[in-house]
Amino acid sequence: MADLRRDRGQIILIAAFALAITFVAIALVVNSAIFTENLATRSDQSDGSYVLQTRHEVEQNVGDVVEYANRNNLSALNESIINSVQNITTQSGLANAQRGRVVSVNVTEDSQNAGERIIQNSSANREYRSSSRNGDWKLASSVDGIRAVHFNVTDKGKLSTSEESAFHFVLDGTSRNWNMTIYKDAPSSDDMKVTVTNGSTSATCTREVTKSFFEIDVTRGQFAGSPCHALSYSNGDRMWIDGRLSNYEVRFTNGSQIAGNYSMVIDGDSLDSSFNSTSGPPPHNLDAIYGLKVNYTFETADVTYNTSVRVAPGEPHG
Amino acid sequence: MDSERPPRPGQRSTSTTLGYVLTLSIATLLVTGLLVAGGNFVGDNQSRVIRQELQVIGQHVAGSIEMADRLVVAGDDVRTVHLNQSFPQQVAGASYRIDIVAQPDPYVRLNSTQPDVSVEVDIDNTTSLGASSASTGRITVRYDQSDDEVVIDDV
Repeated sequence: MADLRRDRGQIILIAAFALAITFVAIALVVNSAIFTENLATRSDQSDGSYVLQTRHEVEQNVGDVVEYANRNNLSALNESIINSVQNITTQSGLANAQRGRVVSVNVTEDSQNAGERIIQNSSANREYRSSSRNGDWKLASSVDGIRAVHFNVTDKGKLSTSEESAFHFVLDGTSRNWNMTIYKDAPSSDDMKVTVTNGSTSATCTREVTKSFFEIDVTRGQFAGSPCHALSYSNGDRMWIDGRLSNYEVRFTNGSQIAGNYSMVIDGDSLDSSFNSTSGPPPHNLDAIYGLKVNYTFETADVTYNTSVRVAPGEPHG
Repeated sequence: MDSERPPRPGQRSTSTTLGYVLTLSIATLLVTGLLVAGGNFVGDNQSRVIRQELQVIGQHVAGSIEMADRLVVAGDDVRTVHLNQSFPQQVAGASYRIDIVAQPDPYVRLNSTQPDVSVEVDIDNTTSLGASSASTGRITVRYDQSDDEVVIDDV
């Protein structure tokens, strides 16, 4: 009987141990669940969005450098851009190094796209005629890109009221062309119209202009200070040439039906009309940088990104 | 007085033995039931926790892949994209494996072994994805320039 008494309760004891182990297991599982909650609240690659933000800043900064160099007609364009980009990389590099990031931007001379800036900048309400006073004329041919196209119409009274005989700005490619017409509704009307035809798609914007002048920023899609669907998207169709046009001619038709100033930068240097330097009567042409590619590197402990970034300020994104 | 005679020697303490046997079997039955129920409870919860954790990890991995995709799209002639991320090596005591299933509607599949749990997370991408996998918890999402695709790998 003594033996029996000592063996009593073994099953309860074993069961207690087994249950204790079960409880420990459940504690581990609950712990995992808590860790999951912790993992779920962590942000994704937080550096990832910063990479894109910095890339955008680089594009903006280098774009400003290109604009500045073009606008001020700097001599030794390529070198001055290389030097300015070097300044950007030194300054942003220092600021980023303090946050544990390495950001490097550099540009080489052969990555720069030479172009021409065509401008008419006259205070005399000059018509959009060539230097030899032709109303229908070709500005350039073999053009592969055009950006920062800006028209300032200083005398709205000059505009035609018929779409056919009005001023046309034409990008004429081999298989398709792009056409913008600027006209007004009626002789005494304040309603100005812009009609864009891209291939077979056509759209028109109308703006009431009470002042004597208005501006059209073609590549930014702005007409008289507000966005114009005919220059951006109309019913889901992209109205800009959208990279589908290359090797085209840039022409003005009925340049006598409009007066004011304009400026644009073209990719290519085969100008077809006689332009003057800034000392002679307009229109002028100036050497310019159309666009360039910068080499952009971003590194942190967890992120490495190395790519080229194309910079062409005022060129619509494709 | 016959009726009051004591039991025969062979039948003595039979009820005590019977009592023991009954007590032990009932106790065993109860305890076994308790253990089985407890084990199942733990097992069920483990599977549920693993599923949740794999879902969370899968969302993070899909997020990284989509970020790499954005970086590739944003660049012009992209040479390097590396995004490293650390996750636990095991989820609730089970090891797991992450796969990119490259097909027209690609997704990330996470599989754990013992218990077997499988989770799928959809990816929205522009750059094509390469069939690839990682299993150590410390993963990298990178862009393979030669194949023009985004893959995952162990660091």
